[in-house]
Amino acid sequence: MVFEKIKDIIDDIGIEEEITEASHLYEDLALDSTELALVSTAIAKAFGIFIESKMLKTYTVAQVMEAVALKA
Amino acid sequence: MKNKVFVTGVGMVGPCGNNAGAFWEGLLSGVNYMTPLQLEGTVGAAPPFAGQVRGMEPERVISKRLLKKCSRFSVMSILAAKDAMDDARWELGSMSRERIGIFVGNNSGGWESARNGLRVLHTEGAPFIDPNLASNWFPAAAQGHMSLAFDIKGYSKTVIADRSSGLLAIAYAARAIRSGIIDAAIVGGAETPLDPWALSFYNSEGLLNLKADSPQAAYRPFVEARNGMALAEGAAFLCLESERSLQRREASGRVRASIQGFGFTNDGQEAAPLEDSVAQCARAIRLAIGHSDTQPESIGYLSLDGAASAREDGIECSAIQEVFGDSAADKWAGCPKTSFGNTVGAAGAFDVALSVLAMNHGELPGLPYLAESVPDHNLNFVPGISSRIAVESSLILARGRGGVSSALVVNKEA
Repeated sequence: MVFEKIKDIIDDIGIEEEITEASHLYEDLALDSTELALVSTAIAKAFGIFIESKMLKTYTVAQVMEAVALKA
Repeated sequence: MKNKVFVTGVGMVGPCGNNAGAFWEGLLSGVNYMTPLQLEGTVGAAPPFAGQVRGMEPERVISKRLLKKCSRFSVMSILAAKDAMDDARWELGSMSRERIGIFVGNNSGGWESARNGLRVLHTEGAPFIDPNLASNWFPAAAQGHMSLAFDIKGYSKTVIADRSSGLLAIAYAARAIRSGIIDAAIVGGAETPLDPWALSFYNSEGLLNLKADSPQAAYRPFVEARNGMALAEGAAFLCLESERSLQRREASGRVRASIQGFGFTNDGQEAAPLEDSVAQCARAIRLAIGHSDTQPESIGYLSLDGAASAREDGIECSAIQEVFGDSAADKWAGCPKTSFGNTVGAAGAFDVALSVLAMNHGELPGLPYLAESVPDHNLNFVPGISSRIAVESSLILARGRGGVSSALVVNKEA
């Protein structure tokens, strides 16, 4: 469920690459700084957790899921 | 010897159609493209009619990822630029992208994005503002988004000079090509002024027609019944190229026109005396002709700014009389934007694009409302919807807030 929500958020940016839990937001999906900020804002809205975009740059999708789980 | 600059492609997205061919056909169909403008919170502060763009298909040209970043005026810019490049048969893969520039005329940027950002700021808070706002609300955003869309890397500029923006963008691009900085440019203007916030600013100039009771009465410069401008959204772009670029891609057969001289003047004062404004407007025309390989008597078509105020219309007509004297009666005058609205920062680009098409087709767009109006000018306007008239050279005039005057001469190339 959490994965699907995060995937939808990244999909909405228009990323064409396959998104898996192992995908690095920056290295694999090549999100630029604005797109990382967009993901940060969308995650804050969806899960009530604010992850700075400079942190997201180092995260995989799985690490985002972990951060959400910790908040929960 | 200075490099010649040729027009090889024309592209448009606007109220009459979403490519240059459709736009030209729409314009010459005689349809008035002003439609009711229904925006929240603008009662009494916005024109009742405007030229609106419908049916764009941006996903055919722009990736979803880039589209997400763009304001509406960037989207229109990319679509019109692609239309122009297709017309010119540009194959960017075989051209040096570092020798191609992007020049955009725009006045108000993506204010619908800015307004939405302000709404979010005041309702949800700063962290929830769309981060794309940082790079899509300002006038140079379209230039950047076009660069991303087409991977064009050459010397580029955005020009902000009210209704003269688009014309000056073309003039500055031509200068960059002449000087050898670049070999080619995609150049024009884009504007999306049909936004409540943007309209509140445009309305402060007092040039908008807020009282029109029909589309036909929305925009009628150069007649006694004038009552201000109707606005429109849209984008018009041209492909400009040097002779060297044409030779490299063996495209001399694609030439539609050549860019000649341009002139740009300022009144130097707010609300200048009428005679001073006329003198500066006339000076811009003389400069444009003086920098052209064209004699004044060769100019057959005058494309006018048409702000639809007694003062502004009078300045244009008087300046033309001052420059051309009695021979002004031998020239045809027009203001095609009266059928679809004034696109402000893109208006000069639309006027240049339509002048090129008019010369190519041997058909000049007219002022359909002249027959039912009392003219208060002494120029020779094209009557009706259009007339089959062949001209070899056109002078395009654009003016702007604070006394800006600009003029450009464009020749049909055989």
